[in-house]
Amino acid sequence: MRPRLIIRLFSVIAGCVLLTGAFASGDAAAKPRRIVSLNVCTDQILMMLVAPERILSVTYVATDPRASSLHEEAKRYYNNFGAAEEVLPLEPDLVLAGQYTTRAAVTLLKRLKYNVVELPVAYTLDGIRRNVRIIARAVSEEARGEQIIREFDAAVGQATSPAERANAPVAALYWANSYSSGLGTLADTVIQHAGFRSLSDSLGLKGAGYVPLESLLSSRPDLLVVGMMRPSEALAQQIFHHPALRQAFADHPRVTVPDRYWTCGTPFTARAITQLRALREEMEGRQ
Amino acid sequence: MTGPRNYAPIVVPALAVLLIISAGLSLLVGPAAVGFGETVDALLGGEIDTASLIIREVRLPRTILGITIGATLGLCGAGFQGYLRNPLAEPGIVGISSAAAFGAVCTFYFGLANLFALALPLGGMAGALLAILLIRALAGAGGSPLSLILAGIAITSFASALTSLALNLAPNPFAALEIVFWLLGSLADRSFDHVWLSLPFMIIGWVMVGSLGRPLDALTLGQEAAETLGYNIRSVNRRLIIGTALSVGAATAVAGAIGFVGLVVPHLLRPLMGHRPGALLLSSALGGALMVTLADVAVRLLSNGPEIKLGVLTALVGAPFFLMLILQQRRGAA
Repeated sequence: MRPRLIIRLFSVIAGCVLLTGAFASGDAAAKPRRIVSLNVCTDQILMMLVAPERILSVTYVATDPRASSLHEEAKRYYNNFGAAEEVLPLEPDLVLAGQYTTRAAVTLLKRLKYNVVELPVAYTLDGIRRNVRIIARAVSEEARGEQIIREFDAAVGQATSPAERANAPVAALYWANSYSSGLGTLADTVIQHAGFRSLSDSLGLKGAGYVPLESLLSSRPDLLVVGMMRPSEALAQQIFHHPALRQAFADHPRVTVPDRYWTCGTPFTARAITQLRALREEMEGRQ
Repeated sequence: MTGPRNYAPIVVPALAVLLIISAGLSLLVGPAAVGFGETVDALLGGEIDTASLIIREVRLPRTILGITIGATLGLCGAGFQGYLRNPLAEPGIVGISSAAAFGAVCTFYFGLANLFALALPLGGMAGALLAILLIRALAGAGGSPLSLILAGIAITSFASALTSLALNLAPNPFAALEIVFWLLGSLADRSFDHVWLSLPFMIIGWVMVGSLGRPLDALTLGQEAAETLGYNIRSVNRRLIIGTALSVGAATAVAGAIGFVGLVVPHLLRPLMGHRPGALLLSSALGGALMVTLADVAVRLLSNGPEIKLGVLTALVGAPFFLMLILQQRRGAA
């Protein structure tokens, strides 16, 4: 009984000393060191910003090369499924979550007074910059954050002006189940920034929406940007094998942009822009 | 009281004309605006442009499938009802369609249909055959309508559960959401690939079931009377089973399970055809084709966004009908 009490007493004292130390030395020592991320978007930005030893867990989605650009790095950590029960035993000092995902876990963690930072969805390049800054501030790595943003700015370059875009080729985004990303989505922002005109402009499509095959065919875009195909079969993907689609776009370029570049708005989104800009310059050179 | 009149000579041509009109509608209705003249041009050949591509490769295969699948369901419904002398027998209700969907799901999502395309209809036909054999064992000819329906409910729910399980185990994450297609059926964005995969089997099935007119008429006198008239009941039975398995199996493999067509159509036409099961076969095939084609046009007109499934419409018409039939049966029994 007695030795235990002494140990407790010591640990309380030690805790107080450490705490005062932290306050005394300011921000540097208050850096979160037990960080858990519950969303594939926060996962990637977090891994870019901080040293591996400060991260306890990222999601299992982050290990999927289709969804995440840092899938190898993500395997170093415990991969969570976004459940509060997985988070509690880790005793994190910072939890990062998406604004619309793992709501049950986030509600519970907030009620238990955990330090939870929720990241909004990035629909624009500015949204990506904002999100990097939000996480950089939360993990006290502002300088590293600004450096990442400078590199991102250099990679994405300036958007073409509307006048330059007037005669640009039209690109159509076409996903499984005949869905497309319209105005206001990140993918649409990306193709416009890369200098294409967007099919959603002429169709008046806002947000994600269904574009029937007939509408796609009759609007005759110059470029088809399709979703990544999975090797296993599903009806959702059969639209890409439809004979009408094959014939209509037989002599058109068809390109796949890896989903991981724009499922989440992250600095890796710059790679989608670079890829599509190069393709547009090649297409315009051919004309 | 006037006796049942025979409208047979008018019904078949009338249905044929209505079917041609609805097929024309099916070619004209869709999200892309293609004019009447352009549609006719596209069908008659001419240069390949976007409009002709839409008509020839999107709407034409869809229309053909609507007609052939509808004909299959109407014909097999009429055949089964005649053979079992049970007005509730129908591929959807007795579980043949659900089992065919399960067979197709097994070949499609696990890569077999990628290795060789015919695996898809073969899977559907295997599932359909299995269900028919089960139905026969559980509630064969002469069994009560009630035992047939009970067996059908059991097979349908079992096959649907297996389909759901298979889709959840399928490697593609979209698969789990696609159960709606398999349980309710749709012709959205089907292509000539699907026509070629299913049509040959459907035609063989039609010939087998369609040639049963005379023996089915004889069967109304009872099995023994039919046999004394020279009809081999075992062979009739075999042709009906194999023909239904081939055509319904192939139809379901490319369009999912579309219910109630084989129930409603023969029932509506029966009084017009003088209650002769043999005469009912051709008219039910035409009527089924008409019903599915019209439902498929309606689905396109009603949907703003992803299309409503075909089976939703046929069930909206068919389910109240089914209830009405049960009420009539109860009254008949009382």
